[in-house]
Amino acid sequence: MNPPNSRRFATKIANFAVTLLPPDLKDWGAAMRHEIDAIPTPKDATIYAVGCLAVAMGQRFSFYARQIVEVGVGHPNYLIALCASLATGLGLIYMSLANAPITYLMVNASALALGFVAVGIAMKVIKQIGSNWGPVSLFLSLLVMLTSLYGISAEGATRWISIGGSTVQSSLLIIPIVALAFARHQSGLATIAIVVTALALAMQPDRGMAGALAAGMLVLAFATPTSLSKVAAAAAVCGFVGAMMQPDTLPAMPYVDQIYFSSFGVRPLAGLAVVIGAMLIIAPAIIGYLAGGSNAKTFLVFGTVWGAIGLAAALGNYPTPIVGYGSSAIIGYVLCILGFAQPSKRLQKSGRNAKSSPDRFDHNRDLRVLLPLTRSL
Amino acid sequence: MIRNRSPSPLARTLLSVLAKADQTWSHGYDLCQLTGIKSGTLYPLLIRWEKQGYLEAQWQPPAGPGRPPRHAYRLSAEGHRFAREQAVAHPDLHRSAAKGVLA
Repeated sequence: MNPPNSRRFATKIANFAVTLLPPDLKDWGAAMRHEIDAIPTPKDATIYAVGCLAVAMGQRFSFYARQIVEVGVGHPNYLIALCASLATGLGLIYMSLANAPITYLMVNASALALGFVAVGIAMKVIKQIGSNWGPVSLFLSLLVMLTSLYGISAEGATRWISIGGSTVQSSLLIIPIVALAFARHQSGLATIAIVVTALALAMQPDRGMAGALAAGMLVLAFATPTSLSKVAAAAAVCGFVGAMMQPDTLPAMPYVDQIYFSSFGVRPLAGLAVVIGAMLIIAPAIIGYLAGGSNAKTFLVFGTVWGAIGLAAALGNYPTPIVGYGSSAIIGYVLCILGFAQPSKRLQKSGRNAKSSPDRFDHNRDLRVLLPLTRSL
Repeated sequence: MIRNRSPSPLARTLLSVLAKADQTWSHGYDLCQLTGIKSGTLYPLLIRWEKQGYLEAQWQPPAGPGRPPRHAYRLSAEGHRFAREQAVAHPDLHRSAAKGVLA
């Protein structure tokens, strides 16, 4: 390459670098561009321009990362929805590469759509009339208990219910949102909901979900060492111990269990899709927690619960959330958006929904619930 | 959000060069030549230090006809204080870097 062409090449690289820089750094782009014009030799100018291009790419990446964090912290629902969609999409890619039945792909895609519809309806309700998570959590925990008592059984495990011809694992649907609701607003009823859920999990060998609940509640008890969080953590750990004491003989299901490892056997690309999808599942929690703010503890519990569910899938024959075949985890993950939902500003101003403010803690209510519980021990 | 982290050896070298230059303005390419730092490392440091208030930057008029205006840099009072702190914290590196690049 002769010198004039090389100089033009350097200039083109520099101009491209300027276009990549985020708006607040355009002045620095001009600085780089003019500095390249002042460099005497074309070769040095080209090397300098390549360095500037690397700077611009790094700054652009950092700009996008900051934007994602800002949107994620301000609107956790968008962030969770985005990660749910991407992880589900990656799961579909994995299943396609692994030649899974087409119905499996349709079930997962439909579950994502169904989750968004359910959240959309529930969000409207929360915005209009506010949320009172105590009774809702208790109701949901009773559903988990009813499943353990009367649900569909297989190999000694009773954790499924049939809805419209589809079999769903109620604990995967319910436990994450119940844990988030408790992290968001610790109340007597929410604590009872955790105790009931833990008891339901101890009744059958659902080690994965029992471990997830215990991990979430333990982390919360360390982050917010209140009397209620300690009761919830103790109950969840007891539930986990109870689940661990029972033999779990369920075999691994294709496209559901053990896919972190088996997917790489299908194709490296399939394995990569599964791993990236698994990381996306906890990405909102990392972003939200590191950014701090009023939802930090809720994000912490969100990440711990879903991280533990993923870990259980790596260690045993438990469903691989979202990237594996199964509608329950996808819907359960999307439902977690509700754990961050805010009532309308009108309701917040009127104070009707003071109960749902993040990380709020009612000491009097605590004592009223805790005293009977401790007496009964 | 600007993080206040400990500077790398390369960053400390650049800091010592800017500190030695004192009130004299330096250009990006000259700083690269003096320190041996590549432009890909130089500009993130300059951008960060300017945001932190350690660095002053200004546009200088073209040196002659057909020459471009250039962006020039020097440490602010806060930057000189930061450089002194780093010189105290890492005396050997600071001394050798300054000797090497300014000899």
